[in-house]
Amino acid sequence: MTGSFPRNIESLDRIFDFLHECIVTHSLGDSIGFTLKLAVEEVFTNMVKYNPQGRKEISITVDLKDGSLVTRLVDHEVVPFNPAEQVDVDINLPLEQRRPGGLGIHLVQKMVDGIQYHHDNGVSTITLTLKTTR
Amino acid sequence: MLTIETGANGEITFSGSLDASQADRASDFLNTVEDSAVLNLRDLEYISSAGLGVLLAAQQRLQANGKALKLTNVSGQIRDVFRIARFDVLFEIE
Repeated sequence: MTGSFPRNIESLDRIFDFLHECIVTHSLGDSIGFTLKLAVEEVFTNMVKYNPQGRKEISITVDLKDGSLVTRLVDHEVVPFNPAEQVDVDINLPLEQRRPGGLGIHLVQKMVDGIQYHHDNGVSTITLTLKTTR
Repeated sequence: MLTIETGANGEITFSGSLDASQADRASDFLNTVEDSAVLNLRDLEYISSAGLGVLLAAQQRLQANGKALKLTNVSGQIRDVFRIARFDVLFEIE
């Protein structure tokens, strides 16, 4: 299943509806649905944040393959930016020193079973893999 | 959609989804909280890093004045998110 969404935060409601439809279609549970929603929100909002001038919509494809839910987010006209290579946020700092930046990618890296990044000719693709047996 | 309610006892309840599209509303509300308060998350179904950021900012502001948010009814995957982000050490969770 594939959807295409304008690059703004207001798209999240439509994205969540799309993801819910994917979960229902594949007869998957609330647990994987929660993780899918969180991972897609974090990657989508990163794409919006780091490429606000992009003219094309961001596409999201969700497929069930070999016991895993494989989700691809594709953005166009973007410079290379691999979120998986960013310095991990320090979650052990005391309250007054904690900063919210980097928390989203930290959550994604800890909660999904696989994250892959590919960039070619201005097109970035981030692939998230979630095992359905989780 | 996020629903915010305040009970007669001053307890705050967040219900629904605390995602990036709702973070500003949650932040605007929490910015009005000036004393220690209980935040009941019983019916919160979802939270992302944007929501965590709102809670973090509120807790930092309150703690600077010797106050704090206490969280109640943090269950299931919301609790997992708190644990992974190590927010379980930043808040008293009942």
